[in-house]
Amino acid sequence: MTRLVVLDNEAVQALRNPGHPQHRHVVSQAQVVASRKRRAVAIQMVVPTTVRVEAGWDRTSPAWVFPNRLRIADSPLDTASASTAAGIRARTGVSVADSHIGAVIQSAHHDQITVVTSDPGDIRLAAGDKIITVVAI
Amino acid sequence: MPQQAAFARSPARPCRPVPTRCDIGAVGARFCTTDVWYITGMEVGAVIERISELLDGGELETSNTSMRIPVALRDAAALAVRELGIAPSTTTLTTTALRATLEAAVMQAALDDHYQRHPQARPDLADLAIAAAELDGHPLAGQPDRLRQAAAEIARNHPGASPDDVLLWAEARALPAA
Repeated sequence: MTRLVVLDNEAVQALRNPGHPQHRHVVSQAQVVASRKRRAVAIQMVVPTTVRVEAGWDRTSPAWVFPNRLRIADSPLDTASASTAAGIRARTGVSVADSHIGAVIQSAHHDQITVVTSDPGDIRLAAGDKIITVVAI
Repeated sequence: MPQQAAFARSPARPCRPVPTRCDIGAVGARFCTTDVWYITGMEVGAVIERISELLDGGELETSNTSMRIPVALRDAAALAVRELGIAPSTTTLTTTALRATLEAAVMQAALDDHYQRHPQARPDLADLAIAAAELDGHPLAGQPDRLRQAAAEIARNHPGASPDDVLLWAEARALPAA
């Protein structure tokens, strides 16, 4: 069984800032992912690149050193995902970043997809028919 | 040993020079007789970042290694690949497992370093049980108080309990008595 954990803007902000009210909550998610990786569970954390733009996550900036070290992979907005995201945005009216999250969800082949988000409603809209788990922060 | 950059064995991917124990002057240099391939004494952040860079690096460049593994383990891996089809080759099997182990180690090192700097960020057993339930979409994810209570109960008798143990205990407690 393969698992994918997708972070939204607020989750990223919470992860970066130890003073954020949800910091410990999101760090707990990262800790669970790390523990499962250690037990050879196929689990991966990703951040869509438009979420990174929205959050101001510059991988070259020292301000982002902690999230940078957590092996959170970029999910880029390539040609195919841009088209999917454009369709989601036109259909639902969610933000560009949430549309990109939707494109990541819809193209993922993982058995379980979890999105950590402050906006569960928009993420469910963006996910369409795909079954996902939403963690509200 | 000349004062050379560590990791200099990979000319295709030039590396930053990193301080080694040999950088302690003439006395240290006198005792340093082997090429420094693994580093001790590096700052943990630099280690995490260097391992991450290496993990993110291309996989086209390969190398034969002189790593010794038990013969039985090698044979078990070959049999599993051939008969169970768990990986395209024993090399793939080995590198995938090694990569996963290193990724977990890097993540944990980053988290441990963060907990040291920000002790209030360290999750307790209940936090981890709630996070595990949330990530899995477990029905008890919406009942954090119940999970906190289960964590407190289980930690009293089993200090090494895992978040999954807490979930199981909470689930069992939620079952109606037969």
